[in-house]
Amino acid sequence: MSERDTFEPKIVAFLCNWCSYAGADLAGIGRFQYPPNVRVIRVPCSGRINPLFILKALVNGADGVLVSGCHPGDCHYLQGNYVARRKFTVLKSLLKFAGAWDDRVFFSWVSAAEGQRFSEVVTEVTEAVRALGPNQDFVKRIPEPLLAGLEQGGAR
Amino acid sequence: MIQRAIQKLAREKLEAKAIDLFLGYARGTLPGRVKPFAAAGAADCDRLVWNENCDTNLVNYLARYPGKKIGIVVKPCDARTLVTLLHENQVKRENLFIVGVNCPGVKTGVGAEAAMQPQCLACEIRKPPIADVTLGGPVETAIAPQAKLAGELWDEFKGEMQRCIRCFACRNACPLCYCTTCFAEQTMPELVYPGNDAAESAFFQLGRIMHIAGRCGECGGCERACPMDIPLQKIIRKAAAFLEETYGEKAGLSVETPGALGTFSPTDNNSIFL
Repeated sequence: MSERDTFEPKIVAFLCNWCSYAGADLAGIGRFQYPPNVRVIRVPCSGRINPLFILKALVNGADGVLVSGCHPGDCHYLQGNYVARRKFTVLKSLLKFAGAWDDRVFFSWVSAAEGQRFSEVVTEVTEAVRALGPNQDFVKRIPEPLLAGLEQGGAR
Repeated sequence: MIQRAIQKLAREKLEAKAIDLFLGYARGTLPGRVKPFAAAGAADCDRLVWNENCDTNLVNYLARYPGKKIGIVVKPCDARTLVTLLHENQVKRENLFIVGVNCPGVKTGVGAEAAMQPQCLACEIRKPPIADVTLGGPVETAIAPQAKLAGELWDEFKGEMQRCIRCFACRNACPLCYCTTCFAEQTMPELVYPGNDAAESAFFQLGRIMHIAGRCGECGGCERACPMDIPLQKIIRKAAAFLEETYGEKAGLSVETPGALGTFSPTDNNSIFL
């Protein structure tokens, strides 16, 4: 088997508590299948997601990042996702300009009623990242001694 | 003559005790270099200079004199950073006496070797957006079209990030980077580890740009400060151009309005979302 077949991307998903996280829940309840490659991190709102979270996940070796929140106009905090939208639009354009990670960062709106859509989004993102292969440019190289320490459960 | 006018204004204000300090430029130790200079009394005012090498953004020094009444010389780009600081309540307008200078661009070097600095080639704002007194005649806005276009891709980004030594001089030179604890130096959580990893450098640079996008006055201080000569303005100019193009807002022109990232519209562009 080639690496392409065996490569299972690690995808970090930042989901807002009120819509996308509930959407993921509904996907589970409704038994919609989606790839097990996402690692979900629940945040209060898409406006809570600092661009640094996204960048840090990628530096630390995530193959892709998915950010998902309530549809515009449906934010639990009224305007959090509007603020987030501008922020992420700028982030994406800058990543594209720098030629770093721009195709590995995904944004979507998924409501609490869209369990099926959540599974579709995750499938789409996973397939896109799988096609790109492992995240290799701009990944932090952990020095060997530190890595050994990490494996033994050492600090950091 | 602008230099004479600056000296006169500083002397008048200092003698009248209207200000405690006057921030300007003094002759540097090398030809073609100037240094920031705080005149504390009328006797110091003769040392104030103004020439085409006055590139340092003096707004960065305001934080050193909390509570003081300060006179300050600003170029249009410096004034834009000052506008951002005023909007963010970092400085008080009533504590400032702002001497604006209409600026045809600053240069590196003297005489025949003098070269216009990169931020000035693309500069559209030649008149300070905020000033108590504006010196110098109106300046034609001449834009070199190739300089205005930031381009679509910064090809050498990875190579440049490999060269970045993460000395944080760009941050220190930036008047807008006033956080008491920078994300690059915080420890809980520790976001940027020590070392020379290109990935961490890219993280720091992109993170910093996200912090100043929509606020930057494009004074070029970061690039001047960089000991590795990384063209940081490329990406900053890209951010500014993108924000202007997408949201129609240019940073640092009005104290009343928040920057492009400080506000939103329900009809914003939604194209990046799946």
